[in-house]
Amino acid sequence: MARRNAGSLISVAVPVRALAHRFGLFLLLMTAIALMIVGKVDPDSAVALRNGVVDTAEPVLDALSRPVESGNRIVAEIDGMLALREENAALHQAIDRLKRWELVARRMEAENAALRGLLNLRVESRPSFVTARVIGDSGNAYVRTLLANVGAVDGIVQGQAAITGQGMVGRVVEVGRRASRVLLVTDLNSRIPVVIEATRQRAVLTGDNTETARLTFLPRDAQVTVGARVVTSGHGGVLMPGLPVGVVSSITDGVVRVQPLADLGRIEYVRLIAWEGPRFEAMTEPAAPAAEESPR
Amino acid sequence: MRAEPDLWHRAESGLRAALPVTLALLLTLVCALPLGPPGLGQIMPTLPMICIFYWTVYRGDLMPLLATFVIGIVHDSLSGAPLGGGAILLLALQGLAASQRRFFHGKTIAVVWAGFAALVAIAQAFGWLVASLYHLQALPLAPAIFQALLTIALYPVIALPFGVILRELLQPLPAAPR
Repeated sequence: MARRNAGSLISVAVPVRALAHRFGLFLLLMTAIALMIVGKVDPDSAVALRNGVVDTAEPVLDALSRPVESGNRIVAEIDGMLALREENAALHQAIDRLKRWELVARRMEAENAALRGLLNLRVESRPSFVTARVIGDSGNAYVRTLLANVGAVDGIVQGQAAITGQGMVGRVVEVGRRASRVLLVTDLNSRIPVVIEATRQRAVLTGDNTETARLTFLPRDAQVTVGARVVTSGHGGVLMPGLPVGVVSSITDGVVRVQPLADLGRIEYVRLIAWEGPRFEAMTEPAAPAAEESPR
Repeated sequence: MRAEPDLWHRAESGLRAALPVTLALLLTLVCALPLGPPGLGQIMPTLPMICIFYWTVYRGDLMPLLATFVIGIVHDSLSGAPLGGGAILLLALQGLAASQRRFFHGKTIAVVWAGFAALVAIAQAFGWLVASLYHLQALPLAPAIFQALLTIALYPVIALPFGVILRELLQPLPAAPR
């Protein structure tokens, strides 16, 4: 009797467990889909949860990324040693070229200061930098982001530009307590207001998850040539103007593609720029002409 | 006097039972690290896929669905992907693996590897579809394909040490349940 009971219990329990497993899978799948939909409709809602996870993982990532970085550096060192001679020659050439540029820059700086003095131009605030180590990269086929080991406690705020020695790489989109996420300029969601440096034509640099980004909203009659430099325009007042982003690498069927100056695949450190954009104080001042001076 | 070894024993077996989920979480963090070759970030193999497949096949009881869900959310959070996408992918993989558990049992690593390759291909295609739907545009296929290939290629590298852990620290389940 007892034996039969146990047998029937198992024969009931097993399908029940399988059913519960299936139901659990269904329930969790639905939860994940719901999370995705909520995140799509209201992107800010997911940020708190995400930042919580990132902040929790930050010490581990920070610790783990150090040996990785040393390893990368050793490989780069060996790489560099093999190419020492060529590199030396190239550097000598570069020094000669840069010395000429230094002269030009110094002359321009002096001229600029003199002209600013003449015009009594209101100088925008000077940028300050926070240098951060990259402790994570996306590890996902559909996003292009970096994690930097600085956050709200270091004074990082959303929207700051991230640059390397070569140029701008992206901007801060999420800020946790001790870590922040940088959206690279090539990510699908990246939109950066830029100008073509030489012609001052405005455009928006739009990422599409490929190695290069696209110039959109370029005027129809815009004259763009391959090799033209693209810099941030500062329109919108969020990003500092004049940061070099990339060079036009190809123009095919009206699609202008820009190769970022920085090598986005191997970034170890980024500088996050705190820059206070122009404020429209002039509007509240009683003097009417002042309004015209405020940059737009 | 007798309760002490019991407690110790229970704590120890508890720790052992937590190994699969702990390892999966650790490898999820490794996925987010800025590792060597440039451009790897986009095609970084999805290591949690290997963990979840392996433990679902060999010790499904130690890889609960909820843990998979949490690992998916952690993966999404670290990568900056839409929350839930990774969880859908991993849950789908786990569901597929669980349904084929009986087939995989007692097979050689080569057969299981081939099965893993097939499931990753299905899951990755599904993931690409979900991501494309989310962004309302067809995303580039190449990174997704490379990522799947790398994940498949890395399977034995992860599965062999897991096999040692399974034999030495955990007992393989004798036969497929059900």
